[in-house]
Amino acid sequence: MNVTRIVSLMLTLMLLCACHSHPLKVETPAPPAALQPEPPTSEEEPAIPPPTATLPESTEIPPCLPVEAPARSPAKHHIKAPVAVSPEPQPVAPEAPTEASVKPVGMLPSVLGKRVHGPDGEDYGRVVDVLANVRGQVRLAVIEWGGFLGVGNRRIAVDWTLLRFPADPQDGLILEASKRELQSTPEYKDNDRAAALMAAPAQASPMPAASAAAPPAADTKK
Amino acid sequence: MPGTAQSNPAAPHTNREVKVVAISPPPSIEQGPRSSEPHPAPPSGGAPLNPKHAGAALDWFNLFVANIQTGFGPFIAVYLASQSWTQTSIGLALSIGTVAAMASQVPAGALVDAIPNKTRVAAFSVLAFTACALMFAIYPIPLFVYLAEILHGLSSCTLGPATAAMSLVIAGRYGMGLRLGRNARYAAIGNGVGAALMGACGQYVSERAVFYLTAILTMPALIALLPLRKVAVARATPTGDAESLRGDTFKVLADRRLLIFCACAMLFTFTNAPLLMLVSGNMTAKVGNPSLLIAACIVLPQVIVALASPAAGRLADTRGRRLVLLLGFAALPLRAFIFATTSNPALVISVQALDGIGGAAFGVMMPLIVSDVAGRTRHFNLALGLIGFGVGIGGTLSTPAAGWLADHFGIRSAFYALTGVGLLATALVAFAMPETKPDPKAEGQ
Repeated sequence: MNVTRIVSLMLTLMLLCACHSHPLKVETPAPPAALQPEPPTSEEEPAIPPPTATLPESTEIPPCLPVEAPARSPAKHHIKAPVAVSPEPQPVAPEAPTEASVKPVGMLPSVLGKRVHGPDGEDYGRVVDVLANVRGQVRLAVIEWGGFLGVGNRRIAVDWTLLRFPADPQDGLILEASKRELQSTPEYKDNDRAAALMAAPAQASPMPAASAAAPPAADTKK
Repeated sequence: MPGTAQSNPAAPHTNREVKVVAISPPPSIEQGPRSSEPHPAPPSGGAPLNPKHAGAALDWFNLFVANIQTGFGPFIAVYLASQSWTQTSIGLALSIGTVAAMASQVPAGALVDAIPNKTRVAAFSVLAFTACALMFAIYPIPLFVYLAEILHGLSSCTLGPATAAMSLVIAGRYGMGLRLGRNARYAAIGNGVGAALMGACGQYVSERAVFYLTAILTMPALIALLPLRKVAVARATPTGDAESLRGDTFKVLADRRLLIFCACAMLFTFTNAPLLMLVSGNMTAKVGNPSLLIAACIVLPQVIVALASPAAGRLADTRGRRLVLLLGFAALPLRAFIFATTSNPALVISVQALDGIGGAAFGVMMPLIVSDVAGRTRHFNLALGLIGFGVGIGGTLSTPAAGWLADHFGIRSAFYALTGVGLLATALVAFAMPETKPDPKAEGQ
């Protein structure tokens, strides 16, 4: 009888957990698809176009928006809505211009969990998080590397512009940094003392002046 | 976990490693006096248990179970990250596993007490591991991952007491020391081999393949149980009414020796658990190829445990438990102190040998002392669960605490703080822990 009780308790616990399943993907609230000019993967597209990004031009997705392009400001507002970290949710105006529509986007792989390699193919770990600032610009990727069987893993934040996305989406990303630079970056902690490995100004892609003046969220080159 | 008798091979010292799987000593029928105590009764039904077969079977069982547990440690976080899980969800899954393991320590102990055929419990636990591994490997959606975590926690907590109980049935109280030592040896071998196998698999095949390998490795564990399937404990007829039964349980749990040892175990795990995590994080930051070095940090203590555990058990049988406990506990603050002063990889790896000593001592003494105190009662596994719970609390609290200290005050202060706690644990053993070795003459055997 004791066994029966314990088994039924276990089953109840499992049922409770089943009711609270989390969605698998990133949990930021995504507005309904109809209201978005871009598909909900906009969070993962950098606001600053990486130099060797190869978004196929044949699809109907408009290319990534540079922040300062004034002609697209209504669309920019829509893009920011899903990733804005402002405290109150910004109600996206339903009476948006005709840009709001669902468009097919083809196969875009997730960034989370993607392998990262060095410039000469060395294994640098995986992307485990993507960080954006309040203006909706993706600024940093958090990479977890090192360790053995999960012991001794280390997380560091790197500048998004240091990542290169290869032509074949199944390949890993390329991080333009040396092993030594990775090791000298302090471990990433989600607090106000966070530090990230940033690209040197000369080696970064020609960033638009407006975004260069954007407040660097506690970025320091180490 | 390197060093400790917990059959979680990969870095038992991480916060996920605190699932205590008491190492059951292989049956020691072949040595020591065959005790003629009424409880536990000899295996019932069918041909009598062949001692050599039973001993070898338990040895192999411990080895394969330790193998299996490698994949369920901190590696799960790596695997889920590769499946594009967010860090929040991964943290939630791991926390569910920790809570499930901690919450089921004591109830699982009671459950194992209630079921007469301990081999059956062990077999079901291993089958549950197979299910968990397959859930991870085939379809890691949140529902299955949470389910697998809970199931794994529960099964770990039943498996440990079941193996200890099987050993007690076959070994008898006076032969437990050596037998527990042998069990710890085979578990350590399984840990080391498992870490190497799974690490290579994760590196050269894929993370998912590690879980398939885990599922495959549960088969030999089940096969190893076959010679033991008649091992049972005659359930002592409960005399008296419910009142006296409850009093009996309370008497076991409130035994002063058990409570003091629980406190010692808690402090030991508090010190031990974060050390490997801190040191290996440090190595990743400083060393070019950290994976191999961290693998060495995990495997070397296992080798020491494999070599030293039977000797620890023998020493405990001849010279008493306190001596072995003191030796093992003293190795801990020494190790933490050396880590605080250096980060030279060669030195770090050699100091991990101290982890092996502490782990061998604690891993053998933990089930041994519990069997001393509660082996004759009907609540042996419950008492094991209680100690496991204390160990779980120690480990779960210490890893975030050490991480917080390392963040705010530097890794050196974290190591010094852990040295202090280790010294406190050693002092507790030296001044408060009584000797629990059963005296055959005093007990009228």
